[in-house]
Amino acid sequence: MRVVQLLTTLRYGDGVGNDALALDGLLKKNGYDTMIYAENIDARIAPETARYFDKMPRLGRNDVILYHLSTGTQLNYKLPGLRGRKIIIYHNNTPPQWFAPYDRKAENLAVHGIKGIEYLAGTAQYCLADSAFNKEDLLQKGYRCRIDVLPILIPFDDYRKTPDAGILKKYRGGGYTNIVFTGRIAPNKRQEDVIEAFFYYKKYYNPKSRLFLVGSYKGMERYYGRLRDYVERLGVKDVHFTGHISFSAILAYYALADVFLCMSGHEGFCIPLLEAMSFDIPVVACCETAVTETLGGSGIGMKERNTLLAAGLMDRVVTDREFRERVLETQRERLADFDNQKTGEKFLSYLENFIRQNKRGYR
Amino acid sequence: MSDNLEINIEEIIQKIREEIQEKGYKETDLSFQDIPIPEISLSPSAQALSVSPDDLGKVLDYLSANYEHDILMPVSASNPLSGLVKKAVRKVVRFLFYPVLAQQNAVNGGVIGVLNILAERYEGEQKAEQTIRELQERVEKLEAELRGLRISASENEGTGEA
Repeated sequence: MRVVQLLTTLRYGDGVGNDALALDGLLKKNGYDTMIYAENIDARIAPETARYFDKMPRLGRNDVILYHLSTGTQLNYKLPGLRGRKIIIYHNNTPPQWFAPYDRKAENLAVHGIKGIEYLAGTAQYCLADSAFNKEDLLQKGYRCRIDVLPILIPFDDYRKTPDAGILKKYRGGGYTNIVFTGRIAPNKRQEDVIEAFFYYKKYYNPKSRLFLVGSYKGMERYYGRLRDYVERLGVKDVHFTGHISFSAILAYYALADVFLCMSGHEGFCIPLLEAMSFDIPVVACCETAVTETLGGSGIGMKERNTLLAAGLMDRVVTDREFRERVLETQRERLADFDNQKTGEKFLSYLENFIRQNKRGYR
Repeated sequence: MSDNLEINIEEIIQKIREEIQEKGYKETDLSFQDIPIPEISLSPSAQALSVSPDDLGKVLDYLSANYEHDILMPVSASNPLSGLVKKAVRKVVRFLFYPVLAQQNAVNGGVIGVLNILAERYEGEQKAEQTIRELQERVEKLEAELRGLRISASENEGTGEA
């Protein structure tokens, strides 16, 4: 019996790609005959780890396909035709309305994604959702099979690598407070609210502060342009957009951060929250969609979207050492829930149960 | 979350709210919705032809946004038959160009990452140069002031004024 993972794009460093690579390692370690197949493969990924989808051998009906579902792709329509028992690992699809004002292509992809998810409702024999929020999304899209919640596997060890020395040298010291948000520049991340909260923070609480918006804006140039205009019109200084940067540079920004501020309006999981926690950075976040669940009562979660309050909370966590330490304690405890060992064991037990209960697949 | 770790965020929020009220912190009248969505009209040729230090940011923005080749870009065709042929050709040769494009994308991504870091450092150096210039001007000004003070001090000594 083979267990293959299938996804449209295996990219080094993104959440879905990391999850697939971590699962691959876990499956191999536990003696499974496994391989990742993808339509597009990042060249940095070793050829023995992943192969192109058109090289996928014909599977037997007892083989298992772990299909990573996250976006609009033709693969969504090819999956039902493949032999084998199918498990869908659902990573969420950003609703198209977020992209509509900015990019028709991204909007269409998201629409295509929803159609694909709905199309696969009858195909999945079992689903794993990154969060209860994603599980609910699947239920609303007509999935009637068993769905378990399993967090994404996060390569925490990678975060211990050396951060970019140049960035550290440039920004470390000088008495500045650094506010950081990581994540691609996209309307659902609501970077405008991060900027606005920073504007209030700088104006009312701490003029010696900076904001780093770490992430690529590829495909979202119009939203990015609008954000830049907003910064200019507000007249707020020290807002830095990094654009696409290397992993070591991202690590440097985490190393510099005094507060991680997330005002995202739609997340299926929100890995950066856990990344920030792993760097022991206090998190201030707006509790919407899966953010609430990933925070799990840790950090500083705001029930309302209020940028002035966010600024006040940032000031509190920066200036009140005792409060900061208590916040960090909650985060350390929460982070332990996402321990890869625990998540890996949970995944293996779900997989074994599925294999046992679905002995004979169908076409 | 353990009960002993629970933080009453609502209580803290209430205090911050009161502080905001007391100190009269006001929300800005400018809303993000007031900012028009810009049109992006950066053509690669125009950008590549003239790169001056002032354009560096713009060119880098363009490169950051376009470094990745879209492997699955839609096939455009004037009629359905030619579209079909184009799609077939793409399918036939994809074994050849998919890996090449993937490799090129990775290289481009790396290059852009490095360029962004270099640009940051360049910007830092510009700022440092500016700071050095300002400090030099300040030193010169202070030296001039000091010279003036010394002269007047020696004059005072000469006249015996207190």
